[in-house]
Amino acid sequence: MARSDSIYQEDTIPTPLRHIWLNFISYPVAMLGLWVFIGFLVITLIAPYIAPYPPGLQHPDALLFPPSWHDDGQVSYFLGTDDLGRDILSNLLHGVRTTFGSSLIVTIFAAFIGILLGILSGMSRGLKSSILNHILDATLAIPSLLLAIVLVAISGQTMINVMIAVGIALVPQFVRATHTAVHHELSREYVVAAKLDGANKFQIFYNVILPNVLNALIVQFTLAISIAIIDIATLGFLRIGAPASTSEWGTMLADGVDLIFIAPWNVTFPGMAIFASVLAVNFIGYGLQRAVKEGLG
Amino acid sequence: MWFYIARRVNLFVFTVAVLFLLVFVMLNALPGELATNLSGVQNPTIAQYDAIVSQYQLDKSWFNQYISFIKQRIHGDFGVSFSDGKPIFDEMLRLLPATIELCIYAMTIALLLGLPLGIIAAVYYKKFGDFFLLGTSLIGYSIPVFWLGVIAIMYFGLDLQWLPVAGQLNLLYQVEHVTGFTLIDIYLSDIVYKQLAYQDAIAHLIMPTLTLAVIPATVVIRITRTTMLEELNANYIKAAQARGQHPLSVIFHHALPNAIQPVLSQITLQLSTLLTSAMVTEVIFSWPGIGQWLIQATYQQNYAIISAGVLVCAGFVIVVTVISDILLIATTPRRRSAEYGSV
Repeated sequence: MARSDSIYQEDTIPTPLRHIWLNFISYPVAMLGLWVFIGFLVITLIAPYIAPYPPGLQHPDALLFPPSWHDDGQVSYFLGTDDLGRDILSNLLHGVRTTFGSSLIVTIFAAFIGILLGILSGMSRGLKSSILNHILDATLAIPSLLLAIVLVAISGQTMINVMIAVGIALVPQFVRATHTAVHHELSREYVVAAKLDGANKFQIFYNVILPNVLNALIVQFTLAISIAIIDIATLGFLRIGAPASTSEWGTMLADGVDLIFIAPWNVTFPGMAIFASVLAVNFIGYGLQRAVKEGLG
Repeated sequence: MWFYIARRVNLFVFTVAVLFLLVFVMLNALPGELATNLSGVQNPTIAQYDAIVSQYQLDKSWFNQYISFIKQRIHGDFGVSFSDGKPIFDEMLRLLPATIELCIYAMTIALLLGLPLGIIAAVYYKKFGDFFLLGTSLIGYSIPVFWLGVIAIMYFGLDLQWLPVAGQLNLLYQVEHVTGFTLIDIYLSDIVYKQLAYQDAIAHLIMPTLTLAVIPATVVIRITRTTMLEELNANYIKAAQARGQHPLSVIFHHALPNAIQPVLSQITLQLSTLLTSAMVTEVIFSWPGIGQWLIQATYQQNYAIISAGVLVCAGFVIVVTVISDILLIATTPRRRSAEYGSV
């Protein structure tokens, strides 16, 4: 956008990253995704202060209340209650922490390790690079959910272990994306030019390659967040994820399935929460992808 | 050509060896004794224990153990199940067809829907049709499989009562288990009400396949759109248009053949994702496939089954990837360049 208007009226030419940002904010859908994402982020931080009840608090006199707009509903249980009298809204708000918040943390760690390994393998050539590649191919072939199940089985069913398992399942994807991007850059002429100027490997990477692969890594990061949310929720749904007492969206949904005939709101709302968060992240990812393509093309 | 095939096969052997190593390390890390995890025999007698030790060379170094582990598995000996002592390999052969059946139908639907829609989105680039299809595919991609399955059961199964919600076939039809693929089994069987059995089997298939097809279909739409856009902007398309060819002919005779190959190679990358969602779909619709069996095994902490499942699922993905790679190399000389061969 900014580039095509006229570069002569601008005092400075925006950096590539700023280009991408300017492009990004021109897509309404992407911005919608970003605002929803920020909303979830805020809830993650302040969930205990805005939720009406503590997580898992049971109201024995308010079992299976429908949502408040229903004739039998009560405003004090805005989205209704489940079969143990737990307020669904409070559980959903706390679930933002367990599902959305922990998937963010997981992705950050997985990205750090995966990108580091990807850079090391991408910058190296020959035997080292190809050994790492085969290990990656083998791990990528294992369905991520199965890998997470096995890791949870090995280490025991706690929230931390679930997070570690999902993170480990994410790492190969980061390594692969980084490896491909870096390897692709290595054959460019400007990299050869930098090499001829006598730059060492670190300088080549930091000054020449990193700025060019950064956008690919950001796109991969958003993709990984959505995968992490779905994986954590799926593990919860299969009851091999977060332990039963935590308010996690997938676990809530699994609890609701038993009540699907008499209390469908127990399934609808947790599902919508997962859907909304994943959709927001995917909108951001799509916007970034487009911004990268058009910003440089 | 043969050089590349040899290279691929070489890569395949190495990747499978790494996979075996991963599973072997995993078996060591799992709780419980290694001999039990390897063979699946719980509380073995002393004679049984000695047999297992000599079978898997547990008294030798870890490398010997690893090699004999591979040997046993390649000969089809996956040990026995913790819970009922049946051989895992036979159980897997019985269940695998149901999963493959589900995946094949879902993939077919995804391609039949995704390819045309992707082409339409590319042709109407940046017009309403494009935005609509792209938006729909983003939304479809974001719906969690288990939620979609449960909603489908709630609406079509319970509210409208149109479709059965669980299983492969009504128990009224006694169809013998020959191939494991329901539709083929009905064809091979000699029951009286074949027509009705077909209807029943298809009614059971509709919801699981459609649920499973949503995510691959959206992926196909987006990949097709991207590759078609690239091809439609190429110079030979402009040349074809300049020569006054019919727009449809340009799309189908010139752009599509070139665009379809990257799509097919990208789809094989989705296979492991497809297997993951197939496992969840099977659990929801009580589909008697390998995914449901594996999840059940997790509840029972049946490590012999879990490790066998990881080996088979990942092995399946690797085999399909290699085969499709070889097919692509055989049909597209362009892919024989060093860039593709070196991965």
